[in-house]
Amino acid sequence: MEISIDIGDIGKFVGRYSLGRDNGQNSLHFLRIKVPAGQVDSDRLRKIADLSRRYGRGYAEVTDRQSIQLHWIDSDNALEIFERLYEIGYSTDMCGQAFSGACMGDVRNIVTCPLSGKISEFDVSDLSKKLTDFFTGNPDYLDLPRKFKIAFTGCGGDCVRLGINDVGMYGITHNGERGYVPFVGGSIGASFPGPTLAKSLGIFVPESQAFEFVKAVVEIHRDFSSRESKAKARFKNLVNEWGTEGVREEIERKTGAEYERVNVENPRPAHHNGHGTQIDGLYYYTLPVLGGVLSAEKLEFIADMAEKHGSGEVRLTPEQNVTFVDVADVNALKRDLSRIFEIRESRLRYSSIGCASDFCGKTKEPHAKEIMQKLVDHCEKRGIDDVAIFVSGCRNACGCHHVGQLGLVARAVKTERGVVQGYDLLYGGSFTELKLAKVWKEGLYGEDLIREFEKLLEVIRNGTEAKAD
Amino acid sequence: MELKLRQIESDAFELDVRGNTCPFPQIFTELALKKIDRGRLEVITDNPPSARDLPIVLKRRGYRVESEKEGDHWRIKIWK
Repeated sequence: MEISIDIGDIGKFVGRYSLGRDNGQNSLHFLRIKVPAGQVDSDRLRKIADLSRRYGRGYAEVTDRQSIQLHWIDSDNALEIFERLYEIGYSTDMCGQAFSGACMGDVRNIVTCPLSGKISEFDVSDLSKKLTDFFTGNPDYLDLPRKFKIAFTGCGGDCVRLGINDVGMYGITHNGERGYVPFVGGSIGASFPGPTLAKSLGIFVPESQAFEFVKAVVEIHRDFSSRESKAKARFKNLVNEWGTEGVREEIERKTGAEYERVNVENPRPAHHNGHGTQIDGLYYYTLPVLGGVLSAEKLEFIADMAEKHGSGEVRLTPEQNVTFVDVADVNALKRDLSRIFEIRESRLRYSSIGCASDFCGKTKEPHAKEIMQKLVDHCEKRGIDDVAIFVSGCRNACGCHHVGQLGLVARAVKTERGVVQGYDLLYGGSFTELKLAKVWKEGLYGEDLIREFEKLLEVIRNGTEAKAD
Repeated sequence: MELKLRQIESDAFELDVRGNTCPFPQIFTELALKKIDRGRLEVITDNPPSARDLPIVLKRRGYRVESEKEGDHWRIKIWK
């Protein structure tokens, strides 16, 4: 005998919302709210602040995929939280990575140039949002072999780390036409065949065909990436097996298009830190938020400042910062922001990244964000502020250590006093040059870590990395 | 989406929520428990966070709970 259970209104949440697993800081669940194209208005920002205050101990983080992540979420409150997100049109990551098999992967928040449509006419955010709408809750794309990461840029450079995405769409203007050079197969986590940076497909995809192109790539991942095991199921593994030529052929077969061949091997570097002029004569200003750590109070303050000084909208950045757009008077905005934020505009503060290993439970103290903070303080005491430090709590590389000028990844180290939290120190990575970092020294902790970091800094500042290789 | 509660013994039912991520196994289990007057509910989940959380949440609510791993999934037995 079977009894049917009517799930009623809950059905609208299935496939659109999920809680992720935490295992640290006494948090059992996180909520990763996707912010489409990283663009959020003051009203939604206040509603997220309210969620943080009611359900997440007033804490919030900007992630390096332009999402906002809350912690300490009690699963008993999940339906209330989902309803509130549903009302403002937001969804979450599906967090299928916890499954042991190669299944339930979803399209993650599509990383998008934070200044889309503001500093050039090429606004890639419309396409990014259209694709987000298409994939969100779409049952045809909720059981990918593993998660799938997409990035778009249209500012003329790579401000989104195209190379670490499954497909990174590098916006260019070619013979007077807007379109994209796709980079495929990036993923710097430990899964097979190891940390890999995306490769150019060497084709030009006109803007009007880009939606179908990305859809085709996701479907190729869905239909052909290995389901044999989780470790082999990322798209990079398929790209590695087929080669870029094979991937290009399959895309062209699927879309029926024959894309023009172009010779673009590397994207140009770009960032949108500090302030600058928009095409409409107004300004943008990027507030550095080290490690993306915010609070309900700060989110509300940002919303207030976005309304007071701009159009009420802010853009979250892939470096975990907050960019104010449509600002009339940057100095007035900065004066106001300095009431709550300590504003230090350096590459060190804008570009350093630390993952949430304290919450996921992959590290013991010192956690990734603590190490990042400690090393940032260390650099500043020595008057060094033009380097970037990327810290990951494990080989999954959420802190992108493989592409850091200075990278660190956690490793447990056996000592006479027992096991301590150590870190491997890396150097020389670059996401725009599509260069993986090399190991400087492994298993460092305590004063040794600081000493080796100091030595490495010296080498980098003297420009003698090549000799160190 | 439709959920089915399958009777496996005179006083035992089975709910298969495989493929659902957290917190839906918990939410669906609670809906299923409302359908059962008394007896045993066996929930099958392949989602590790749910396999961790379900016994904690249900025990907190006063249920007797046993959980066992069966290959690639867990069977969580709940007595009402």
